Amino acid sequence: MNNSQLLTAVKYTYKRKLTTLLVMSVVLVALMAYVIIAGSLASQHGVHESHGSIGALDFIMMMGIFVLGIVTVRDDYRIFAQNGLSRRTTFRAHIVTGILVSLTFMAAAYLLFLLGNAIGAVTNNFSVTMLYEMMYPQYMVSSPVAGTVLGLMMALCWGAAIHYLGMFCSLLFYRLPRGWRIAVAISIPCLLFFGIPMLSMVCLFNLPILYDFSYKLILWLAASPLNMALVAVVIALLTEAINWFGLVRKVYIK
Amino acid sequence: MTIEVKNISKNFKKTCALNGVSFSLEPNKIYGLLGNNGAGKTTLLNIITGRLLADSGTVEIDGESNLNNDNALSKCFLLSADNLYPSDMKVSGAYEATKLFQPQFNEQYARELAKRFELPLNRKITALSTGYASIFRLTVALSVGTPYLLLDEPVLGLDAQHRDLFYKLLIEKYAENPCTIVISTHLIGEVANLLEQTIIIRDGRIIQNLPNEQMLSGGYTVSGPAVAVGQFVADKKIISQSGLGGLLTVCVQGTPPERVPAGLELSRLNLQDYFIQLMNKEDGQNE
Repeated sequence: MNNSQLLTAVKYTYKRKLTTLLVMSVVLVALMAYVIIAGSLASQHGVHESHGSIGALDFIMMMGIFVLGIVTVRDDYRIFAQNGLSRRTTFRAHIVTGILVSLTFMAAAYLLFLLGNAIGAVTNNFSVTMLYEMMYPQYMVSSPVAGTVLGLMMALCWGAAIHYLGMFCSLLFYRLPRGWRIAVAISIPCLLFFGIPMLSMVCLFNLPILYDFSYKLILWLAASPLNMALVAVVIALLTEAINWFGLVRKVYIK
Repeated sequence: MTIEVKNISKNFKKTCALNGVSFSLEPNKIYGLLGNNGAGKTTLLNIITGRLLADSGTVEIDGESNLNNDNALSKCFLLSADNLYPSDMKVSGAYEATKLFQPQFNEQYARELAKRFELPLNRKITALSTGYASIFRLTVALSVGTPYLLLDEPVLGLDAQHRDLFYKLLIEKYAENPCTIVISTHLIGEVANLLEQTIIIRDGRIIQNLPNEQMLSGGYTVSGPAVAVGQFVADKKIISQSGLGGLLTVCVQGTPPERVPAGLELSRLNLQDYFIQLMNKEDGQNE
């Protein structure tokens, strides 16, 4: 393996993705500013007491990371192939970039979280929350520092996993024949809106063991951010294994 | 310093694109890769550059397998009709990206070429016309500086003036920095003088791989008044013929006679006529 080419590939993909982070951050800051200014104006003019909030900032960032995974993966394989990089190097670069992007996005989310709450403390009409605060309030009360660290670790793992999932969606769409694309596009929403709820009902009444398992799983996930992080790592590993062995290793890059 | 292609086969479902193809490319030589549509030229070039994997066989670039090998792959640059640059990338951005991955890429020269071809640097690559998209790819290919340059239909959509300029620049580049060049094209007549050796591929098989000198020594062209030419070739094996007004040009197989009848002109067989003759012969064998 040519490590210098891997490094160059990581730099290239990371740099392209940073532009999106910048745009997302500007939008979020603008949104914060709007909520704070509008709330302050409303209070000054005595319309009513206003308190705005932005919830699950890390989750918003995760959505951005997911979309980035979808839109960039094919472009990267193509331009790297044009410039003499193997698909294995491209794949490895994506693994590294996924972690780096998640780290950067979550750091940005945390900075925005601190900034928003610092301003909110002055104006007294605004607050920002993170997803882990909403999911694990017990940690935030008992040990805020440890809770924040574990929460950010969970967000970091989920960010990377979701980035790889985005790549999976894009690569799958790229690899599937047209007929299959249509079938997948129809069947996924059907599965989400009808299949899974119906399956849950069936399990609830007919398969109590499965229901008990699901219930215990949810309790286990709710017990610690580390458990959620572990699930994210498993999803990331599985997704990347499918991406490489099923979708990328033999693809015709064109 | 060679590319060794050994026993490469590739099938697309039921279509056999390549069937046991083997050849080697020697250093600093200009090759022609000729064949009819669907012969397997593009598939072969894509396999050499690792964009497509062969079902069987190997490709070695300077002794290293090209499979997931950046070191080997970065020695080849393939100019193909496919645009592999991101849809939002501008021409100047593509130069910068190429410089990032190919440190030997001469960005300044690419920009000079762009100026000569009047290629707008700040336009998105996907917004370029077919001709300008070809020009963009040519500016990269001429500046990239890899030891192996593979050109698949390099002048697609280019007007005659720009095609002429490209051939001149290619020769200039080759003279300054010799490298192995493979030109795959249907415009045989235009590239014939550039080529040292020609590989002819048909239905996924290599049917001819010879230096041009040797390939074209098996025939000659005779031209002149139609009646005189007709009499001259009456007992000879004709490869092809074309007429204009009262003049006739005939390609004949065999060695040229020492004495030429008055009014007739004899010249070397050209590559395009040879190619046509070979294809016709293959068609005849297949029928």
